[in-house]
Amino acid sequence: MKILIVEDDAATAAYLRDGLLAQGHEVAHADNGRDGLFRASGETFDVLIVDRMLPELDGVGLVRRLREAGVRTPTLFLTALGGVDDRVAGLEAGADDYLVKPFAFAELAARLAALARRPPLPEARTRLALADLEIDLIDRKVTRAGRAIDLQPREFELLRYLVENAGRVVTRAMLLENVWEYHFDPKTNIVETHVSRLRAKVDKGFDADLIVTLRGAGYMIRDPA
Amino acid sequence: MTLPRLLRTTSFRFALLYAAVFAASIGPLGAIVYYSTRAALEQRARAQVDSELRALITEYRTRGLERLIVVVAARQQARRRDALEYSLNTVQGALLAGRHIPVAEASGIVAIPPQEGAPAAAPRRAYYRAVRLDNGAQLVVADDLDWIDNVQDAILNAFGWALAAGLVLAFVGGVWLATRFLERLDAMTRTASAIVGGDLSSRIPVGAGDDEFDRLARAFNAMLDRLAQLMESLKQVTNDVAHDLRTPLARLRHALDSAGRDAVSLPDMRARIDAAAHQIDGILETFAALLRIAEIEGGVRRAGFAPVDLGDLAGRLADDWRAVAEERRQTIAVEAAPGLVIPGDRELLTQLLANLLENALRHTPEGTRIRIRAAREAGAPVLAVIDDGPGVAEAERDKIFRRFYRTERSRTTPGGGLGLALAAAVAELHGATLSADDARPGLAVTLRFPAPANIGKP
Repeated sequence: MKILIVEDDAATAAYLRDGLLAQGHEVAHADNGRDGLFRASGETFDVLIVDRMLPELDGVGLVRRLREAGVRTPTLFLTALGGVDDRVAGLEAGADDYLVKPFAFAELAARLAALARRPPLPEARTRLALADLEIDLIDRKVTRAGRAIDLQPREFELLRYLVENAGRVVTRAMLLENVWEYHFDPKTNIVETHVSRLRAKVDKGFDADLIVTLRGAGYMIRDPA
Repeated sequence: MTLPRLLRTTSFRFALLYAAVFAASIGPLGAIVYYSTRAALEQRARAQVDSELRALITEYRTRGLERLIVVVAARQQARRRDALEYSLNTVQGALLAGRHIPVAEASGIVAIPPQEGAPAAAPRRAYYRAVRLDNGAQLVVADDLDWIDNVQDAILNAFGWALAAGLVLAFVGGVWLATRFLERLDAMTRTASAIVGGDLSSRIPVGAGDDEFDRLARAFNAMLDRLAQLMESLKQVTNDVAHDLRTPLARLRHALDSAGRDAVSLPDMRARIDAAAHQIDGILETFAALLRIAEIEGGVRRAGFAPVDLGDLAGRLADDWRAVAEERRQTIAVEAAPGLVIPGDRELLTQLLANLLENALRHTPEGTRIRIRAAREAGAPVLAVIDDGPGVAEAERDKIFRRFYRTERSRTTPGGGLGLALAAAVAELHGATLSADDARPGLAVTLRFPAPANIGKP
């Protein structure tokens, strides 16, 4: 992927660049908002990483101007401020996702992957399928190898999100935000519990496991074939 | 207070304006009374003259001139001061009876000189009517108008005095009101100055009554209380950061220190660094929670309140945590009344209820039954999380909502001691009270929202 990092803190920028280069991405860097806006509107990137607090033009202003100019490049917002209103301001300006500093690199990588492959326009799909698993989004029915699987509403949403991101790592935080719409971190293992219940229903008794746990990173659903 | 300052005050200016309005309304009123009295009295004089004249003419017609002369003379003789005057003249103008009244026309106003023998005085104005009798003699009846003038003078006088008295009263009242208002405003100014000067505990004295000043003073004091509370919260955060973040930071420093010195191998070093990173995550989490509490206590989020169905919220959270509870062989039941909708922040209320629920799950043993109750008590919405676990000692119950407070028993269970503090901040944001009670057995944490009429008033 071709990624633009707009970040004024040299140490953070270097950390991001080194990590992304190591993953095989092409990385460009701007250290202030004006340069960032200039490069983001002049070149084509797969994804932008924009810091909230920037000299010259702050992150919110940058994203807003970019969107006003019709540039739809998926954007991940970084911030050291963790307030609720802060998050809302970033998303309202047109950012696609939001990450509070400091973060684990694995979290950033997972979110970038999800952002970059997000379809430009969400298609109105009525069915999802992965290997022998089929999800009917209208009737909210799930079958695997033709056998009906009975899921609780939250388990259904969880499976749907996993399948929509099939082949990509989704982190615990991503699941909390997108499946539960919780923007805080519960102290109990609600994600783990639901994933293990889902796994018991979707994978147990079948030949191959679809849902895998990636230690220290998150979960993934993928076609085992 | 000095007089020039008094003269510059708003209330004094109001008093002057009031006086001016008073004067402006007294003027036309006086004029109306003056002219309508005059018209009425003159009308009366005219009527009197006419009826007297008719009576005399009747007398003349029925009993002749001789009799008329006698009657006119008698009436003129017997007249009281200010009563009617008579004059009966021959066709040549010689006086037959009464007194001479120099008239020119059939009716009008004439100046009658004072009567002979009376003390010297100015001629009096009178209204007269004159008729020629069929023998050519002239009969004149006149009525004195001076008494009308006297009445008019009295009216003018009365209005003059009323005006003067009104103006004096307005002035005195204005000064009195201004002094009174200024005293109370000065008390407010003194309080504001004291606060600017650093005495944050200063408050405006509130009277026993419920007038505008008392209400203003109360609102002002409530505002000051709120500000003091925010200052206190800020101070609290600073202290918390100082005390409760330094400790783990110190521990972290020791860990890194010893890792640098004592690590026996690269894998050992890596393990120690991972452990340190894990500790940092914990510190950051605490820090984030403190900032979030401060953000909530700031009250800004109240602006974004939207209707939240408490029963619906309770149901959703119970569904989300039921699986977790079952792993611990605990149960979560929901008793929700329908239609419990309050204006609130859904995200924060979710976090509040999640914190209460997790608190109940984590601090109670296996087999504990947990209930979420959403109901209406005395018209006010109530949300409660009740467990039948070991409960919290009475002495500790109020303290559990403080930041970093850990009960004696819970020190060994994981958690930062901020979950209930955050819940308390969210409750406060919604104007609700959060209390911990004995559920016999167990703990009941209850969130009482204000009754619908008082919603929005913290």
